[in-house]
Amino acid sequence: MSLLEIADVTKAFGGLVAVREVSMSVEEGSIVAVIGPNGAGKTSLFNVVTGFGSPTSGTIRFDGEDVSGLEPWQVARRGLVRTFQTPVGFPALSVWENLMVAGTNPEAESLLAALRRTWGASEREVRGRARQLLEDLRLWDARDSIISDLPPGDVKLTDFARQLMFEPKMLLLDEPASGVDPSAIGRLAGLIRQVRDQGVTVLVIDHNIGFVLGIADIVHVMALGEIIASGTPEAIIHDPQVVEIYLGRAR
Amino acid sequence: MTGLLLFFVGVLTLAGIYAILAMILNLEAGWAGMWDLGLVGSVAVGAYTYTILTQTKFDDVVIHPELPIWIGMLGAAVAAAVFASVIGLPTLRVRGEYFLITTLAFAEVIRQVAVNTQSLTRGTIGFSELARPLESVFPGTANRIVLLVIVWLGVALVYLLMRRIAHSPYGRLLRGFRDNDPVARSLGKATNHHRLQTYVFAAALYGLTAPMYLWYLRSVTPHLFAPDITFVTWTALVIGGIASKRGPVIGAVVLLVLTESVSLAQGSANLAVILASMRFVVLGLLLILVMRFRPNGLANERSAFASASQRGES
Amino acid sequence: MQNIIFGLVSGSILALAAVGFSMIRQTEGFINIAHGQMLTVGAFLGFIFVNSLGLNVFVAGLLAMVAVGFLGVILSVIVFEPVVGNGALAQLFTSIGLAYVLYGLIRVIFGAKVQFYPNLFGRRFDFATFNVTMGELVIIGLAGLSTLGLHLFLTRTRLGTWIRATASNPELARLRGIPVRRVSMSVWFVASALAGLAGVMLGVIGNVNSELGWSQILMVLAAAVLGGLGSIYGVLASGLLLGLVMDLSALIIPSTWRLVVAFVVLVMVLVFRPQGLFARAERKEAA
Repeated sequence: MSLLEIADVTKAFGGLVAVREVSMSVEEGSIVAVIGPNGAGKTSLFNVVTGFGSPTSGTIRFDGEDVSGLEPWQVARRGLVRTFQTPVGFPALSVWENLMVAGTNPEAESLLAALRRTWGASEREVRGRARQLLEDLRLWDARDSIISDLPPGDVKLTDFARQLMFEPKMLLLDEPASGVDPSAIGRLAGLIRQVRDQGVTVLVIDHNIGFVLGIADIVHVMALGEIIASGTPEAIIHDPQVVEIYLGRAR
Repeated sequence: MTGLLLFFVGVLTLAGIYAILAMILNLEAGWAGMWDLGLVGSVAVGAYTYTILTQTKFDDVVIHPELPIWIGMLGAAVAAAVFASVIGLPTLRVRGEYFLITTLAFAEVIRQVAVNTQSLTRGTIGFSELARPLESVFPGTANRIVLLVIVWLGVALVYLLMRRIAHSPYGRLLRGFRDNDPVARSLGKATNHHRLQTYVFAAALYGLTAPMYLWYLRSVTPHLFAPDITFVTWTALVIGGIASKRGPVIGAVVLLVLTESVSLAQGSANLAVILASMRFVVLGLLLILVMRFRPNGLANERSAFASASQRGES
Repeated sequence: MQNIIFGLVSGSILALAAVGFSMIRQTEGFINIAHGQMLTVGAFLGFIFVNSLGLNVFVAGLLAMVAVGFLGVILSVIVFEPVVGNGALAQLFTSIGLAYVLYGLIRVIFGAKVQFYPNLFGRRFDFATFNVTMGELVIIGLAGLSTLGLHLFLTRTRLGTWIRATASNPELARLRGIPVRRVSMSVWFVASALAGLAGVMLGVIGNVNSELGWSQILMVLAAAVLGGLGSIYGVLASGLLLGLVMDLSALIIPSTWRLVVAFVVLVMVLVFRPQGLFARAERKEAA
């Protein structure tokens, strides 16, 4: 069953068409990648899917429900969560607080709950999960560091952990490998697979082709706002059009 | 000697009032990231509502129900909150500098309305000789000390309230989306809703503080609600340390003691004008120096929220 | 018609004050609340030059302009330059601090009295339904000339081109090797001088008092936002427009409401057209 269904989505900014009639679907439990050169429209597509700007035309269905044009927080509450290219998160909060914010539900973090101090039960539950996740990602010792003091690699990991704390059905990763030390790429790929194995569907955009082809089940190639090829990593590497337009130039 | 004592009672009362305002501003601006340059608008709404509901001296006002003080305070909070929700809806759509300017403009609109609706506010003449609480029990000088105690009880209450908020998931969320709204929204947080809620809540608290200021001054005129209150509150907050917990109180006391002490030097009437003006110079210099040498203020957010992971761990 | 004349006068003055504010906002990157006090300083200097030194009003105005211009440069170096690295909040509050220092000093030196320039332009031209004084005509004319001068300076000189480049994209300007410090200083000079001139004009048509700066900065902010903080010409136009709207509104409602009218217009514009009336570029949603 496909979890995310993007049908004929177009996004135009004034006269500039960033995404042109893109259709794709993401099967539940899979890792799907979108690759393409800078300016291909990957991030614009991400923005539209996650509610940061509504599509000019076309529809986005998530988990059987039309989510096109919803606010980002409404999309997120349906289980579709994204990351951002610059993973600063909440810079003034500690790693620990970053995760706690993500894990807390709307009732527990309302003003009324604060005044009546009725958030204790929620905190205990979230705290347990945060601890587990931080230990899994080997971030436990950094838990009290403020994000703006962390080394970039840990910031990226925290970013990942924070979005996972939300327990999404599907995670959209925007350039997870950019700025990551080449030696740590393998670990990142392992993490993404691990997340998928726990039942989270993953859609990833990146231009590190080696990394993407290594983890994805299905790859879509975008150029100038359109999808020019789709298929398994093996098929994509050998697609003559892709080699010419994208890989060819890279070499 | 009693003159000097009373002088300091007055200064500390005023410092307490500004400490409360600065703590509320800290919630709104320091934690929720809304740079409100119009807080005096909420104070004005609260002050006029309270006065109109409770005053007994002037019957040339269209309504003068002469209600008890506590209903007046409640009315002040409610009226300020209602105004803030009306103002907040359009204002919160704009961010950053635009928010700053819009709030400043709204406060000035409120002041101009107060000048122009004579039948309700008595225009530029305003109200004078307002009653103070417990005046019949503690008349005269003793009442000033009663007022000092009431105000500092208020400081303690608001401090406890703010501490409660600071360590709640709500406070944590505010400090989060303050710096990165998109990430918060991508985590299902309805940040605009939280902003409006915080803005209205802060306004209610400003409105509630307004009567204390009136007890101190005993009069209301539109002139009181020039942007000065806003800027002095902001100065207290940034001197003390924005987004910290104790900063607003420390900043208000330091600022008010320093600026008000200028008027301790006594002399001719001519000198008095000069000294009154020197208060502004001291205020400004303090702000410039703190921004230059200690831009994070005397206390800071980092130490106020250190090791959050241990808190409540048991 | 009479109200149009009044509107043109206050609009011209407002435009001069707002354009300088907007230049500083663009090239220096912060809202300079102290800009309003530069008007007060200009108004008082002009008053002293005319009243105590007995100078011709045009000479006095020019002197006040230059003096305020230099004051702006000096203040930018000793007050604002040291806090550049401390963030926009620090710069904004430094400007508020400076506004208070200037305001306090003006009151210490000149007192809180309201003072009047001598009646310099006695001639009045009466028409069927309105009249206009020589002073008003001179102000409109001078404001027009200054605007033209500013336009020529910004478009025809190398320094002006640098200023415009820095205003539209400070980052890029830095990378392209534009002498940032020289640009910054000239912006401070020009902006403050225009504020000084606007101050003298305000004094000539009305009075000189220490509160001038505070009331004007609110209007300047409104005009600057209306024009879309960034655009220099947009701000000129909106300053003029705001002056007209305020004085024309006096036909319908009492003139004591003029400030309310200005801010209601401002808020409406912010809500329905947040990028300002005259800005073309869309403000991008941060994402």
